[in-house]
Parts: sequence; C-alpha cells; structure tokens
Amino acid sequence: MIPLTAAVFNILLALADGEKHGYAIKLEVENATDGKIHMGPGTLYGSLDRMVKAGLIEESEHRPGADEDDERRRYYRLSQFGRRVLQLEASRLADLVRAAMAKKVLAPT
Amino acid sequence: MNPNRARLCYRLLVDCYPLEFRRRYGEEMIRQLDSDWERTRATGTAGTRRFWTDLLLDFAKSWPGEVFAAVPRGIWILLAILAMVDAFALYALNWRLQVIASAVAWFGSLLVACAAYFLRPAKALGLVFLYALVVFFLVRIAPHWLDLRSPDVHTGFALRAFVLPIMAMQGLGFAMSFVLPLKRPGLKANLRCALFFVAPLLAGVSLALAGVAWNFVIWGSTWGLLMPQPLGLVFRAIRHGDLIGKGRPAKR
Repeated sequence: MIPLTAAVFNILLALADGEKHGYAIKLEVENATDGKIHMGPGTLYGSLDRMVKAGLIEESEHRPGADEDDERRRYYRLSQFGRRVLQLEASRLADLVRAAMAKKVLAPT
Repeated sequence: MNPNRARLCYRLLVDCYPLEFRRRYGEEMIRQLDSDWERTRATGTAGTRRFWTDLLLDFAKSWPGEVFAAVPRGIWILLAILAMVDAFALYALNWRLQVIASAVAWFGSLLVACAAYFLRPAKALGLVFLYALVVFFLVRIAPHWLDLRSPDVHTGFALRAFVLPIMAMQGLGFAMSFVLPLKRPGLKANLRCALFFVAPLLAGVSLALAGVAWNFVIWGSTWGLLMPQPLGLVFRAIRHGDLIGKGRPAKR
C-alpha cells in the first residue's frame, strides 16, 4: 500500500484531525497545498470509494453538529489502519527529506 | 452559463459512470459542482474555461478506472442472475435490450435522415458524426423515456456489455457502407460496401449469441431483420446523393 498516491495521502491527512465530508476534504487539500493539488469530483469520490474498500477510512454515522451538518452528505473518518498507514507514509517522506538535506539537495529548515 | 445548465451538462458526464458508483456518489458530485461553480463564476471567462477543462480532465482520468473496477462485479452479478433467475426475468431483460435495439435502429435512422436533410453536411463524415450523436443520445435518453434502465445493477451492466459493442459495430458498418462507394464507385466498391455492412452485423449477432446464449432466435430476428431496413433506407438515400453536400434543396 505504501507509498501512497498524492491524492490518498492528502485525503488521509485532511481526515487526521477529525471527520469531514467529501467537499470539505477537497477544500482542505486545496488549502493545505496552496491549490497545487486540485481534486475534481471523479478523482475525489473515486479515491474515497477505494479507500473505504481498502479499510483506510470509514463512513461515520456521527454528525458534527446540528448547524454544521448536512445530512445528505456522507462523512468520513480515519480508521485505525488508515491512521497507521498515514504515520508510516509520513515517516517515510520525512526520511526522504532528511536524506535530501544530508545531500544538501534541500536547505535545512 | 447558468447553474442549472452547468448542472445538466455535468449530470450527463456523471451518468456515464457505472451505476453503483453513480448511485453512491452521483448526488454529492453534482453538489460539489454546484459549490465549485458558484466560486468559479465570479472569476470570469478564463476561470470558467479552466473550470470546465479541469472537470473534463478529471472525468477523463477517473471514468476508465471506475468502469474497469465495475466490470468484475457486473460479470459476477450477471452469472449469478443466469444461475438463479426465473424465465420471466430473463425474458424481461431480453425484451428491454430488444426494445433499445429497435428504438436505435428505427428512430436513430429516422432522426439521422431528418437531421441530414436539414443540416446538409458537406462530407460523409458529417453524417457519420450525426449518426454517432443520435445513437449516443438515444442510448442515454431512451432508457429514461421507456423506463428501460432498471434500478438493478445487472440491467445496467447488460446494457453496456452487449448493446453498446453491438451498436458500435453496427455504426462502423453503417459508416463504411457509404464512405467506401463515395470514394471508389463501381461494382467492386459496392460489394465491399455490402461486406462492411453485413460483417459487423454478423459479428454483433455472434457477440450477442456468445453473451446472451438464451433466446438467440429473437436476437437474430431483431438484429438481422430490423436493423438493415431503416439503415438501408438512409443508405440508399445517401447513395443517390440526396443527403450529402448539395446545399439545402430548393422548394418544389
């Protein structure tokens, strides 16, 4: 499963701090990447569908709050497995960044 | 473009996704389009153009994967149906396919002939395009009119699995049957044209027989008898130069 695609990694990251519906995930990904990753509806819902089937995320029955909730939307949250995969992928990327810094490809921050 | 028209255009694209995916995510995808469209409209023409380009690219990227992912499930469901359903269900499914075949053959040809008469395409390719367009819209719209698209997944699969390839072959045969004689008139060209017209038809029927082994007599009669008649009328009209490239005919 690892390495994850950019879309899957960003969706998992968007869900790391709580459950969200599809459109909120898309907005969060666009904001987090300064619009560099743009997910159209087909890509977004196709990815969500595959991630639910792979057990990375699960549909949530809980709704966040009466005024924020749109009951027609499906909400998603990270599964335990999804959180573990996200951690592994993030640490893999961190290792890569460290290796790039060691070779002075990236300036240390 | 107003929001309703944008939604309608996008709904046509969403309709192309597999039935199960569409049922599960179709409404949310359209709602996402509504929200994005509201944001995009304020950005002017360039933003709108980019929006639709991104949307089409997204469709082109995601559609094949979803269709491919739906095939194994469709085959499994179809096999399960073949093993379990009663004769009436098979008959109903078969009947639906035949209605679509007949509708495409008769109404499609009629619409193409009418459209060609008024639009007068300059080249034969224009007529092929018209035929493809009419077939596409009939396939998309006829099920809604005639309640042919069953809520069950298997019907959606059956429509895509058997009817579309057959129609594609039929369309190819139809196109070739008048493109060839236009290029090289004469007896040989006509014979070749007949071959191009008949071969895809036979291939289509064979595919139908392989896919839906039951009731092949009805299939054969539907495709063998119904299809050539209306298409042949259009074909003959084209051969006599009534429909292509002479400008709008003068009123008599």
